Amino acid sequence: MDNRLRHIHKLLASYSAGDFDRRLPISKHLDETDAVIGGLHMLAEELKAVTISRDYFNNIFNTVSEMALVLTAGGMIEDLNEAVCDRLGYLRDGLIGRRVDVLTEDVRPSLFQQLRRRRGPDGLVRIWNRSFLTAQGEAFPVEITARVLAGSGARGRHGILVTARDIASRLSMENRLLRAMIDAQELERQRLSRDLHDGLGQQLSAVKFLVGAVVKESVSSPLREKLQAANESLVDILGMMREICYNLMPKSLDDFGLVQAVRELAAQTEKAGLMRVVVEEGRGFPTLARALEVDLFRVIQEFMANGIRHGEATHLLVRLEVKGREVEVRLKENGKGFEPALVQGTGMGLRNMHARIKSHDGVFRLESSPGKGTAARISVGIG
Amino acid sequence: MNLILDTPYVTLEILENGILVATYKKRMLVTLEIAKEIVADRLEFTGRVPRPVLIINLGVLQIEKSARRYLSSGDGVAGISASAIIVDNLATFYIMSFILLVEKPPMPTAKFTRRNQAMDWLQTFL
Repeated sequence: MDNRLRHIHKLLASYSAGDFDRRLPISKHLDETDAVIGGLHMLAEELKAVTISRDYFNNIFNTVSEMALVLTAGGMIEDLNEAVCDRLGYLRDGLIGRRVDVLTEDVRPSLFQQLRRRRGPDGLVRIWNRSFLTAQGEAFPVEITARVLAGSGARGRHGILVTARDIASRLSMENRLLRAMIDAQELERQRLSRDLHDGLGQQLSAVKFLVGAVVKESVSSPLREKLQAANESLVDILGMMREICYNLMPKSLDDFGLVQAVRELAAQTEKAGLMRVVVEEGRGFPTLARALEVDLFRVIQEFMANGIRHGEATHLLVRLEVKGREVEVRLKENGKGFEPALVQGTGMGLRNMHARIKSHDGVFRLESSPGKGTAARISVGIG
Repeated sequence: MNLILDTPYVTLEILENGILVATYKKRMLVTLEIAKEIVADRLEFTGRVPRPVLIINLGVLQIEKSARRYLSSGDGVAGISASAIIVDNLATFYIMSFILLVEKPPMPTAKFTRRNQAMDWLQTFL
């Protein structure tokens, strides 16, 4: 083979390997072969301008701190960066070729369904609050952004680039803020309840006592009847005030503990004809730290209120028990249910419930689906 | 008689049918300066009247990247309504195909190995 042809072959091999800087000298003949070499040099310049090498791409892909995955149009993981392996503890080969939904919690709709359904006109999908599961099965809160990649896969098929940002520290800060707000709210409720009970309540009781005394001494029948009516109104007002005080901060929670406070709440709710509430107490349910009792009570109260207000539930089961070194509260109502993924991050009530339990390093799990009611399981370690 | 201009880099000829024939000389390395000179000469020769151009490559060794960019820019194609490039060997033909694909000249451009095919194609732009 002609020596210059041999060099041209080597030049082409370099270009096909991505080394576009290699050049051959133009000979002194300035012949047709030199023209071909010149053409190949031009080709290399253009290729260098429009091509990025796999190493260059991998360096960028693996340097970004966000987790990044490339999916096929069918939701299979085609590529992933090192951040995914580092954060979630998977081996790269363990994820390639598997469905992206292996990374997410068992929550409907699946992540891939969300990626398909929520795509905006710009091809972007944003999912604010979802969790990836680590290889150890722990939930890892992430904010997801996805974009359709035109012609990214084999034979130019469409793919999806998914990036996931770790929002654990942001959520933790939000939860601390929420906790501070909840604590301030509880203090204010406590103060209001005390003021109402000790101030207004005592004054009303005194007035009621006086009116009662006048009723006894009154000789005029019409006056006596009016005073009697006033006295009955005062009894109603005192009852309403006690109810407000109870809702603000049940005294029984301080005096008799969580179980008794929940039983009172159940009795009040049933008496008001709002729903049937069954409270079951497992053996040996202990007295808990006051802050935990208040939070568990508020979560039960919120769950009940949601069931009545949104779920049209007519029956609620509350079960409080101890399992090993954890207290567990199970709640189950028979309302119309909902799609949990569709309300994630939207309602303050749900966020408050999560934040209250999370602040005790506990776990709050909510399960619901349309037509099947709603259930919650709360577990908190008790040291 | 056809008008002809012979420069150090290219020979320009306006045919009776109005097509401009530009024959690039052999063994040329086209730099940006040379490219600008070629365009200036062409515009002066044609009086800036847009017309189809037949480009005959007799063996240009290389066109520098900056020169390629200029020749496919608005300034570089001024006075050209369409261009047909005749390439005399297959290797250069395919290399030129790729370069045209990347540079994307802003007017109709095609490559041919035979002059009569190129002329037939250019006639459609007269």
